[in-house]
Amino acid sequence: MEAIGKKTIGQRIRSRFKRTNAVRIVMFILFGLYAASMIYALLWAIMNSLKGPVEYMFDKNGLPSEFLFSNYIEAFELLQANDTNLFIMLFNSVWMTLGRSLVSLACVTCAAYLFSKYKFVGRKIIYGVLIATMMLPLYGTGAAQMRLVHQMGLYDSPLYPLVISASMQGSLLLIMRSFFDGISWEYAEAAKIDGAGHYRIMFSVMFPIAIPCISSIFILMLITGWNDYTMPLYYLPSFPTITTGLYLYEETSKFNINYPVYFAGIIMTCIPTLLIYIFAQDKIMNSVSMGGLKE
Amino acid sequence: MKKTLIIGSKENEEAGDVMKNNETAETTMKKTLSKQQLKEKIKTNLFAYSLLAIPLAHFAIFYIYVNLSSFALPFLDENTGAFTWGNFELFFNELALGAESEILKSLVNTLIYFFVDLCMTPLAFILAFFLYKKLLGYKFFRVIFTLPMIISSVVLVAIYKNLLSADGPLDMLVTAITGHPMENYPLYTEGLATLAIVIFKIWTGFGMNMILFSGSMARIPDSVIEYAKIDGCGFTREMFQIVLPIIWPTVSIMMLLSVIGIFNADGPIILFSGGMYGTSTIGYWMYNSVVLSGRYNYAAAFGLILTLATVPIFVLTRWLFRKMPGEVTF
Repeated sequence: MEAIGKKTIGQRIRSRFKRTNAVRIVMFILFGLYAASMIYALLWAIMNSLKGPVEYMFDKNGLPSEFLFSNYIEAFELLQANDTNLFIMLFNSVWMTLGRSLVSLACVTCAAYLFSKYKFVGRKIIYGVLIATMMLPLYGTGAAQMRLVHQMGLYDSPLYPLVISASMQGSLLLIMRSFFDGISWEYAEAAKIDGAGHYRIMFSVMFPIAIPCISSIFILMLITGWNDYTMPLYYLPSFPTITTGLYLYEETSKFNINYPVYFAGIIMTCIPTLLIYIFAQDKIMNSVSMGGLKE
Repeated sequence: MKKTLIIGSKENEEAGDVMKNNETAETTMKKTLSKQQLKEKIKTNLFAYSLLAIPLAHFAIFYIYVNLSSFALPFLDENTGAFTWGNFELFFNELALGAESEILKSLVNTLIYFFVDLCMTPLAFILAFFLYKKLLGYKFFRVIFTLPMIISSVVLVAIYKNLLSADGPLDMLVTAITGHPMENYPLYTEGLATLAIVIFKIWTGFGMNMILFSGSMARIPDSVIEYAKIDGCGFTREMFQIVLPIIWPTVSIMMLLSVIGIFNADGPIILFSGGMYGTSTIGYWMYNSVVLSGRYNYAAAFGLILTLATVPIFVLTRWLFRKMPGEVTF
């Protein structure tokens, strides 16, 4: 009886296998086409960043007749927006990205740690309200916020990106909290017996254990911070970052754009995030789903 | 008995219970302990609120105050600050223009983006499933699908715009097929522009959901899949009857969030066309009214109407899904 049963199962698996392979081949082709389109687009931009402006006008799709790497140097002079050149834009991008990410990371990490490990007055209420705000879509608040930012004197102020980042709202709080939930409190108890205070326990015992999660989230924040063009566009006209600046350059010099140099700027914008991605790919992949890891 | 009380994890709660039982037995100990306890409690609260002070202040100002004032703004006159219904009148007057109305156009486009978002969730699931099944070259494809998250949309839009421009690759393709160059450039033609942006959105929009779903799938115990294989379970059955139910909490929460945030559905309109050629969305309309035109009260009036319109959607979806993000492990 058993032998017969096994045979039929074997046959079944074989016929499944054939169909499965067909599906796999179709999917492989579809994925391949997608990948080809993405790679073509990027190569196309790199190719055109090495042409002369006239050559670009007449031949957008061929190889450059001469590789003008000088476009990448010219970009620093030519690409300007709101009286800011590419050097300053880069500088703005760096400090704004780092500042925003660090402030935001500090707030989210501390909040997640407290909600996970401490019982303090009002904990449940605050956490409940924070969760509820994630589910409540309120529209048109941009107007009130813009008015408030003007009233507070934060409009076009370099303090604005730091102030607005001091938030603990959002899904990162949930991810971080469930990571802390998975860390045993026994480490802290041991430290407590040795006489460590709350701050000591947090900084020298619990946070070091949470570094895999904290660093993943930090990397994610760095990438989104670098790529964000909206905040400087809305609130910081005098401090365009590289992404905002390139957009403004394209907007303001509509009929007078030196496209190859513009593409050179575009390509340079990607380099920092791509480098982070190359070195921390697994961390980025894990960061979003980290919270579910069971200890 | 000289236990130091640590307020926090579950083990300590139990420790606290044990202590309570002992307290009744030794009353002298109780007094000193409760004093210690109180001191410890105060210390704990001070510690907690010293860390939470800044984010709480941020929440109070940039969430509570901002939202309260955006309830008040629609009822105030733009210039005088006096109470008025004028902003709503203005809104309905513009709506009455019908097809001419920017508001109506924005609303329709937003619903298009919402629908696209909704359709992309199952697509991202299928995509994540094949990566999970280790399709040939899956590591490479995973990188490609996440690239649009790593590269700024300013960059992607700039490239995409030029791919569709005159004499660009699309034009070349059209010329090769039809024999004459493109007559209308899709990004600069009413009717085609939104479609072109939607295609851009699909082209670049799989990353986040794919990573989320891949993460949930990676946590499925191997034994479950092994059993399914022994039972002769095929690809489609594995996908829909085993993997999907297991990661359903993640899929449903993503869909729930996009349904609730229906009017937040958007494309990178600012980067594309500045709302011209019929591409405006609610998000762009707000940007235009607030940042470019400074019409705070009028924008807030539209916002309030949208918020009210979401209430029944919110109730309905809550009833349908009965899930809150706090109950789900991502």
